[in-house]
Amino acid sequence: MSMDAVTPSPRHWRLASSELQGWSRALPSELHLETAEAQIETIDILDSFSWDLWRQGRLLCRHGNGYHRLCGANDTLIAQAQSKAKPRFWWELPAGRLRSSLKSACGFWSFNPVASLRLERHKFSLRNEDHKIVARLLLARTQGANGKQAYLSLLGLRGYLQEFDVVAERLAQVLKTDLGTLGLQQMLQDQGVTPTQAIKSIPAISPTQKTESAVRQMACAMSTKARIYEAGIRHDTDTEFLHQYRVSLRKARSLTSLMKNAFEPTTYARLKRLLAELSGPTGELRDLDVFLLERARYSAMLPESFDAGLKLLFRKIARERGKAHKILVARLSAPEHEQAYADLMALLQAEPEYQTRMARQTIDASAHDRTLRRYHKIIQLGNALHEGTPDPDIHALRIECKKLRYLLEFFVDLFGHAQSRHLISDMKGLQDVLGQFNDYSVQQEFLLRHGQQPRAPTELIRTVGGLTAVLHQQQREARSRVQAAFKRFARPQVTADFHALLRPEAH
Amino acid sequence: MKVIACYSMKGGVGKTASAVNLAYLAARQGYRTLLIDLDPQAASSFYFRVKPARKKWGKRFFQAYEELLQHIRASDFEALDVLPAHLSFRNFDVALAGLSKRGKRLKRILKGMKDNYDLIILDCPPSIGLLSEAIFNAADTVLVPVIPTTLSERTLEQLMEFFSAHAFPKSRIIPFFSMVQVQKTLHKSTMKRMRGRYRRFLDATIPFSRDIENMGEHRAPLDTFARNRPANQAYQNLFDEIRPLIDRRA
Repeated sequence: MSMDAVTPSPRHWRLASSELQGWSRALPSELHLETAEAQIETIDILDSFSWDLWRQGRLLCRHGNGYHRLCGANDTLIAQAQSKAKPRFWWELPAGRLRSSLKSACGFWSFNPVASLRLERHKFSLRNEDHKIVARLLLARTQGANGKQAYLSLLGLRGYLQEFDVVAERLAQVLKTDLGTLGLQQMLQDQGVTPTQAIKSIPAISPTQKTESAVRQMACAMSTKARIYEAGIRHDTDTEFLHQYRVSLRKARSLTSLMKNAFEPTTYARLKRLLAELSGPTGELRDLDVFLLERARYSAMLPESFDAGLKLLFRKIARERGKAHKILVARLSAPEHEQAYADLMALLQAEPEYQTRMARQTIDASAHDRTLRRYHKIIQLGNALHEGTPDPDIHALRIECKKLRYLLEFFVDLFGHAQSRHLISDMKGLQDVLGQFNDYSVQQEFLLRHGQQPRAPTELIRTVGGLTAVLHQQQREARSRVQAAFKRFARPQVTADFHALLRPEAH
Repeated sequence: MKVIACYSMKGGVGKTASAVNLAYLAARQGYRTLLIDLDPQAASSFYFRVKPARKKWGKRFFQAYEELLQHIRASDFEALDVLPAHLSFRNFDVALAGLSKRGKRLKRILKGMKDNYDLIILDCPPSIGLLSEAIFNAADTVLVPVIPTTLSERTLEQLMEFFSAHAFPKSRIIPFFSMVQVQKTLHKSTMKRMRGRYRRFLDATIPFSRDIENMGEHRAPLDTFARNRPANQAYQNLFDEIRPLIDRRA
């Protein structure tokens, strides 16, 4: 027997306005109802843009005194912290469980107030003839968009099961709406609170759908998704909006490029131009964001004597970031941007032309064919690797891997979720090392582009030089691991898995 | 989980008042606490307004942990549960005499509660016998209230001798002065002498107090009705002094 077996589970009711006055009259006369205390507070509910916490059944509540708590189902406490500074990112919270929970749940997304609830709680005790508390009652009243709502909860005490059962039975006779469970999320839902930002997943395609129709449908959904992040970029809510905007457009570009034979050449050329026009101006700001987000890593690369130079460098990059943001916001607000979007959507939503062989082929056949080609290309490039392979060839391998990864993700419904996930995880080791190799290269270029200026202070020049040297070393080190990572990826089991999935004989 | 026994073979020395107030103060500090009333007079159960079960169950007390769980009651205070005494507990020595491994029975049963409680406080009856031996085995600390009089001094000596004779570690015995009347010369001189003789006496002393007597009237721990009174402060000091024993890792 567990301890819980002797503690009754709570009961909850939603009270209609007519029930609000009468419930106490239903209580057994031998028990005395005592009002303990009342508490009124307004709770702010914080969440990321796409309501990640809410969707996981969690709530991040900020109370008036700077007390933050993260709750799970039925308000069970997961983590808590005190911070009066109104933190918006996990790294702005004090070290502890709340910080680490939000780090994994929200990543770089900021959390902002998404709802607010005025909650009035009245606590009551039920005492027996010895004046001993045998059960507790909690009357909660909320006020929000749907007006006033009231709830009554009966909470049992260990060892007083009989009294609990009698009270529960009496209340059940007069209260109509018995709720199985009750928590703040339920109360918010009753007030009409619901995720405002529905991040739609890409609609499923049918395996027998013709390739051009399927690709248009998918690219259209990807481009539409990009637009929902524009407001966050304009308001500079956090860096994640721009990142996701770019991810959505990049996916649309990759999909149409990988499946370009499904389009008539002039149509594809127009698509490519429009997608480049929409995402092109965002690169500069994203590079600056990434650099600023990695401050801790860059600081750890150099000894303390470089601190002054690092400060100068980050101040300079932050200034440039401010300027780049203004430029991008101006571009997004320009009529040309609106026009480019309208043109892109019109082009994608137009009736399929079915001018090419691939356009008329089923998407299932095209997806398998394209994916297998990419896989063979990777094997071909990887087998040619040697100690002296030039850097551009390593970059080419990285790009091929990225294409294969995208294909496995785009057509996950056709390949099967488990199989796709399995193969993606097989690719992870190789992709990680290739990604590092590329990142270190991009970061060196970034530093050379932004860190140098005429009449730059000596500390700044020294710091840029120091960072570039470390990054160069790290890039060489990543480069030395590419061959081994490829060997692991090309092992017979993974090859067999790819062939089994792509079944060339079936297509 | 730590087990503290409030014990004295002498009656009326303040065992129950100590058990009740310490259990309450521990729970208030967030320790999940269980007060087990082993005294058939059921005074600590009375203070918490917890009635025992109607059925006689004292015979089965040492037999199964599950049986004990059924009798635990929540107090009116957060994190504090009470296992009320029953009149049938007066036969504990007889019940234990008929059992094998009787010395370790209580210890084994309490061990089963380690996931549910941080602290168990035993309010013990004023006797010495098989039950006391089981208590001395089960408790990490035997907290002994001592009235600073010659008679109480003798009682403490007897307890020390009992521990030596039965090979219980004497380090478990932590005495403290109870029902102290500082205006009495006898109390002052006895306290001085005993502190010289027994180094482990706690610094905190519990005064003789009408507030403590009034606990019976209020049926509640001191902190709920005499928060700012000296007696309550004395129990707070006592708790602060024994707290490191609760926090000490096993």
